[in-house]
Amino acid sequence: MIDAINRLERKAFKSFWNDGLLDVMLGMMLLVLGVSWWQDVAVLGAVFPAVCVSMWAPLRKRLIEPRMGFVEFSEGRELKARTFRFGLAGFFAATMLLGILVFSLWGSDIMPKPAEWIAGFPLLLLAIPAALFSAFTQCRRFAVYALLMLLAGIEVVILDWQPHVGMLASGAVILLSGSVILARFMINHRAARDANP
Amino acid sequence: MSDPAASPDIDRLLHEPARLLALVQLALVNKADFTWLLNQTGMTRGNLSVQMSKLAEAGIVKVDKRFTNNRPQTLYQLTTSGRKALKQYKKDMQSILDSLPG
Repeated sequence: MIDAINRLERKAFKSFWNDGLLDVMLGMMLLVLGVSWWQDVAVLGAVFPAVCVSMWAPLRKRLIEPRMGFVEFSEGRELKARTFRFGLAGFFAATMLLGILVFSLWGSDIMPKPAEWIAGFPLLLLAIPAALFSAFTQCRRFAVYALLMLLAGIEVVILDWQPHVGMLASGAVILLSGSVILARFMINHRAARDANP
Repeated sequence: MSDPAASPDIDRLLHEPARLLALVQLALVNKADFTWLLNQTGMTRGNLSVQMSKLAEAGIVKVDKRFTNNRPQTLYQLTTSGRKALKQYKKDMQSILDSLPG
């Protein structure tokens, strides 16, 4: 009985993420990161993900909530979500510090020449949170995205490409997938003009 | 098999499949609105509306009406007595199922 209830709760939580909006944002984020890397516009790559993160909640409220409905999960689930968000923020902060460290050591005696695999590293760093998110929400497609980013990173290393090629390629695929999911969601869930019963 | 007369009384209000489905969905979360319940249960608007009205009348769920983005929104939350009733229903059903042979 407890298992069935837990399964239902997980299913309800999973359905919360099945609208495709987050996929679209992830794809766009990867594309913009790729473009900023390619065109050497670091500010764009730093600002756009922050804009995306802050835009997700208001966009969801305007686009998704009238169609999917409003839900506030149990305190236990909300606590897990908060812990996950903090963990993710910590991960990105640590990644940024690592980036600054690598950048400052670049060209010094300690790191005269970057290792060959370093070109695939940014995609690996982006794949980790996607995989963690998949585990947290039980949405398998985010694990597929993580795998896609990982493969793109490996390909970048093997084919000796610049990291932005992998970012642009995986970003385009994720954006396309997200757009299809979002379009399907919008078609299948009409916004109720009057949400009152 | 145990004596049927000794069987616990089943709460008829909760024992209706559609109502129970909506109630279980509501028990999984802290609060949810009508549209969320509609999507999760797959019921028609009319059916869900009737079932939720009955649950609200019985004090099993609390109803809160508000406006969000200029849209009226009806929020439902299981009351303390609703949680108790659901727990009791689970217990009663469990005891009946346990008394089944095999």
